[in-house]
Amino acid sequence: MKVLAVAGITLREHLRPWPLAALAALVLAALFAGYAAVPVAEEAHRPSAFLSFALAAAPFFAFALAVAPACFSLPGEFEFQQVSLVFTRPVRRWQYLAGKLLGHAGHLAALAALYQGCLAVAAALLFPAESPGLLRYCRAARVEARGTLRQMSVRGRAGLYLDPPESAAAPGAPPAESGAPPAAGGPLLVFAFNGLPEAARAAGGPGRAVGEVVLPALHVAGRSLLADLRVAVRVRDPATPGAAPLWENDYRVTAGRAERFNVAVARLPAGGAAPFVVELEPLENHQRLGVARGGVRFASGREGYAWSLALSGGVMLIKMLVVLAAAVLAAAHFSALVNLVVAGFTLTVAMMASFLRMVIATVRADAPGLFTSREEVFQRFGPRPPPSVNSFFDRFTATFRGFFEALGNWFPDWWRADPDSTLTLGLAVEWRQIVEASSVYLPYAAALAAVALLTFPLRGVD
Amino acid sequence: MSNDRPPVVAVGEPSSAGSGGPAVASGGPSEPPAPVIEATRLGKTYRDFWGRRRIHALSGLTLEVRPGEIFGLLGPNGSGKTTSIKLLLGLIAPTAGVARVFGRPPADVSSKARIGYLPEESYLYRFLTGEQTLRFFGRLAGLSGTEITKQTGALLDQVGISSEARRRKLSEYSKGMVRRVGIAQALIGSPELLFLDEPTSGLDPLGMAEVKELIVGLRARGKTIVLSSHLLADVEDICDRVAILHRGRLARLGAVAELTEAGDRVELRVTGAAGVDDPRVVAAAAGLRAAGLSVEAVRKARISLEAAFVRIIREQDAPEP
Repeated sequence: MKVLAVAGITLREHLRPWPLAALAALVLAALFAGYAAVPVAEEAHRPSAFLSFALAAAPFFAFALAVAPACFSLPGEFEFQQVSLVFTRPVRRWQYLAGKLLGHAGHLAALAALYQGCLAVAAALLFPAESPGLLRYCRAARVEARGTLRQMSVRGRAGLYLDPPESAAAPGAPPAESGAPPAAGGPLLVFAFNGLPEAARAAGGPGRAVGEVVLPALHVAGRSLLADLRVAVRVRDPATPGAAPLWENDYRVTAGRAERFNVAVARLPAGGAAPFVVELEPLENHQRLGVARGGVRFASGREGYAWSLALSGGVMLIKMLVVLAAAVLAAAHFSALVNLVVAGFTLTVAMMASFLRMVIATVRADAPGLFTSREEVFQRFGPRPPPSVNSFFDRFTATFRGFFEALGNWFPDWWRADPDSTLTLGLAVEWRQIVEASSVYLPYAAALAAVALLTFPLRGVD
Repeated sequence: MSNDRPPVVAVGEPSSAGSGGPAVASGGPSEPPAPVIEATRLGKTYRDFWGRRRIHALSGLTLEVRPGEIFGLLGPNGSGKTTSIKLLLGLIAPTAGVARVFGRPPADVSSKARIGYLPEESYLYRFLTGEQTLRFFGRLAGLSGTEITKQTGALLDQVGISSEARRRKLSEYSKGMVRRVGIAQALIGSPELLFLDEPTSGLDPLGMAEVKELIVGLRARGKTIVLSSHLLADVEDICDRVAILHRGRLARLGAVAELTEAGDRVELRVTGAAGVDDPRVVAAAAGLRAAGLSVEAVRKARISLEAAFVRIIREQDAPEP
């Protein structure tokens, strides 16, 4: 009750209807302007690039409008002595601090909702209702191409190919990826190029692209910073659709500046053309920034955008709460300027940590975050057993870890209901990330709260 | 400045001003009630960031405040009044001595439920309306919703905030209106002990009179009041006992009547006279030493509390002989 009373007054102090409406109008205007201004290589990529940019900007928006005022909150209450009046009532230190934090968290949540809501409005008006055609693989989770290919030769182009090596005439081609040729029939060639099928045709082959994968990429200053994606390619005999694939393999597609990546599959005929079915399935690397959310974002047009907005808002909220706690709690007895510096420092550290994780994952190409199948993703992010207890420290943290494991296991039940859906896969991964972020950040916030209780300026207060 | 009051001509029933309120423990046959506030050698030294002593704000304050009395806390600026009040409210911790409020340490939350505080400055949230302010402090006091609604209306009526005004933000109030809301917030929760710091500050003469009546009325309802004010005439009118602080030390503690005694001078009161120019009074005054009128009261002459205050402070400042 008292915590809520303090939280309510804090929220009321910062949330006024008219400034909020003006802010919403400003954000909407900025978003529409930003949509037109975001640099993209191809117009079809504008929604995704814009969304990446707008989501990346969200923490700065929250910092400027929610965390910064929080830095001035407690010093202001001490300066104007309202805090003295509060503590002449039967209010404990923790109730006051919890109330202040809750109130500022509510303010932060309201602003995050405002920002994400404006973004949703912009998405509804600007983005296509349906996913662009070139993204259909992610949406359908699987695509089939049927046809008959003849021998295709490609020269002077880098690419991925399958044994037998003599079938690939390209000099200086990279080493073969893993995988085995089908036991029956002629050898199989799988080419993956930027620019097929034009390049393939130019090289004299009649091959055609059976699929196209577009990598979600964040553009900063005209450069593409991402990304990494896995594509599963399976070749089946159309006569026996339920049988094991004749051949299958996964390819990691890494983009530098390129965003479009074509995959072409050709069977080298053993005495003539042979029918086949090719399946392409993108396997998102859910530990890579952008790609993970891209998996959801590209899943199903507006629906995917909506989920992406909600979930990224959740992650942002949790991280900003810690920055908020640093501002409101740990530095309660310092000046507003010091609080601002502390909060800014915490924000910078948090962002640098995220960036560092991304860099490490990129450098370590074989990091555990690379998945070759949905099963692996499921094992990584899906339901987990209760934490094992092997040591005193384990016993000490078992309850804490068990709580977050249970929380993280909650979402995958939905995922199990539709295991082939990229959308539910992405959502489960995002949920797990939220829970994992919470398990790291919330104890940090609790530690800050403890510091605040111990260093609270009104030493006489209980 | 004269330390004497003008001669008093009786105008009815004897004045009770400064003579002690009804609940003042003056040593009767029964056991005196336990004091509401007890301070024993209370001291506070403010230190700087490095822990070095900077200011001795209060030293060796020992006093008791009894239930149902109006206790004045007086002193020049910087004498330690605010520090004393903060110590007794549990807002700061003492560096020496012990304080107890309702028999418990001042920081104890259970005793704070029985305390109301009106600070010298109006430390209220300016973005709240008068009604919202009282509701907020009512919630902090742990009142139920029904009780908050009931008390909010009654208290705002009592301090004279109109129905229209109580829905306006405090930022739109005059200084006097904010003061009235501050008094109302101190009273919400029906506290048994009230700390009122300059309660009439910013009020017009009518408002000041109303607040004084309110304070006296609170005493009549058994409340204990600690009053800090620079308006010594007001203090003299309504306080039972006062403590005068100077340079962080207790300079004098006692009933107002004791502090305002004018030494060896005597005051004579008569009845039946039309005025001080009444020939009979003149004649009586002339022949009083021989034989005279019926004498109603003879008592020690008094000086004003202000005069007493100035004298005490000057005595404290005087160099040791």
